[in-house]
Amino acid sequence: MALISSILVPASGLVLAPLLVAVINRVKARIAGRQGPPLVQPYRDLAKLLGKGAVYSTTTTWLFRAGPVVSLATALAALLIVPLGGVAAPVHFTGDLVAVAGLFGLGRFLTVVAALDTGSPFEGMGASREVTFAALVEPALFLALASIVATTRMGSLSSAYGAVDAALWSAAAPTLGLVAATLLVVYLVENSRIPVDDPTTHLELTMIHEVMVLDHSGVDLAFIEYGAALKLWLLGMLLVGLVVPVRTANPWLDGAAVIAGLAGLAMVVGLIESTMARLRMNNVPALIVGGGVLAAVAFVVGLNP
Amino acid sequence: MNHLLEILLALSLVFNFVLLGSTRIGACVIWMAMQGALYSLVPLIAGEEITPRILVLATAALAMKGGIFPWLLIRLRRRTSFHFEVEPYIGFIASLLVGVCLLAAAATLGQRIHLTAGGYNEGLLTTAFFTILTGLLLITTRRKAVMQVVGYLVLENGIYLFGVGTVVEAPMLVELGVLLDAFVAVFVMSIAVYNLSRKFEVTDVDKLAELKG
Repeated sequence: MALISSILVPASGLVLAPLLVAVINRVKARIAGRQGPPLVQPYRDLAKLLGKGAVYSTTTTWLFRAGPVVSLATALAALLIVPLGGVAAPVHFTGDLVAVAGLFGLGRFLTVVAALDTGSPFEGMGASREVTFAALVEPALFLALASIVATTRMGSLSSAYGAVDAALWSAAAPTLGLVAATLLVVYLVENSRIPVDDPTTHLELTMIHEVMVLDHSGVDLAFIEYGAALKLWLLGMLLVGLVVPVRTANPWLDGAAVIAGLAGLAMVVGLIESTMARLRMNNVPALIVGGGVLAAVAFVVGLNP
Repeated sequence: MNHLLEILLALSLVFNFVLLGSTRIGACVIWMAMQGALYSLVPLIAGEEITPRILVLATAALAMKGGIFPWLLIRLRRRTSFHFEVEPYIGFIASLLVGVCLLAAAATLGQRIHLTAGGYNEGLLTTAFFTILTGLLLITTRRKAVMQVVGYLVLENGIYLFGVGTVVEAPMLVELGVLLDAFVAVFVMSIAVYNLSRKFEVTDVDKLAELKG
């Protein structure tokens, strides 16, 4: 039973992650008064891209080809470690939160290196911005996860999230609330959503993430899109697993509650994207540092019960 | 421990950081007032029972911190300056990071100090110390004279919270006297800033250093 449920955690992510992108797009379309693409559109896009051949510039080296592969591989590896709320992930060990953050960092590093490898100044600009914001968002993510671990007194992510139940929420509401706020900021920044970056724009001087993947095509682009969807799912699990404290003994029920919460999160992101404008580039660090500060407050409040 | 109090204290910690990160004087005044209002509710929440004495004190503090002080400051800002920006000596992000260091210092201090009398909890002491330090940081790193008054009031908020947490039974006369002192201080400072702006057309405290007697 435990084995089946722990295999269920990564499997649900593998299958449902692109749906999260579709829900966000659908909410945005509905608010704008449009019909919006069908919910299976991301799957169709992925199938189409996987059927195409990739084109490589003659100035690029193996690094350019390694970028998409490694970024997808790191997302898949992280999917094995992050728990689905109370349902433990297949792999868990003490300090695995560092491994998850490290996997995100490795994926980003290879994406950045691949972007620089093209020699395009445009992509270099995007890479520079991505790395700048990543340097600020990583401490925030670490502090947030460390606060959860410190509050629950558990070593691994799976056991820590397993201990976040309604009783803990009523005992340590300030800490968990602040951590949830930080994780929302981290979610928007890491997935390049709207107050920070606009995922729908290509060829605009203000964009960050999309500019780095301009030269990828075909299968490589499919890898990148799928990896991005998985990242949306992974960070969503970290946030929703905390906010939805449904911890019955039944893993199916717990998992279903978190998956429903992820759909809710996608709607919230759609709402944020529809109602907010992108921040001016030099105001973004203030947002990220602010998020990190919330986590620092959470950490102090958590240590000071 | 009292959960409501805990949430309130965490909220006020966040208010401190908002104060450090705000770019507009008006926003700072509003956040300072909200923090003051929160703190004036602390005696109602933290005490075991609500006596008439506590009720009178809380009402007086709420009216002062949440109503009169911000009203005076907003009026002052409207009269003295056409620029609503805070204009700090150190940047807003740097202020936030210094704030994190101050929070760590306040937490250490809050855990070290053991009070024999009163003392609701360590969290309250930590919050009080942090609010005091935030007030000092605002006073020392902001260029506009109005922000010095805001910093003073944040400092005063912190001292008030410290008093609420540590002193069990201060005479009502003393507590009301402290509030009145703060009121007079704000009143005098507003007049001073207003006259400064009339005389020199700036309220930049940098320029004050150039004055000769």
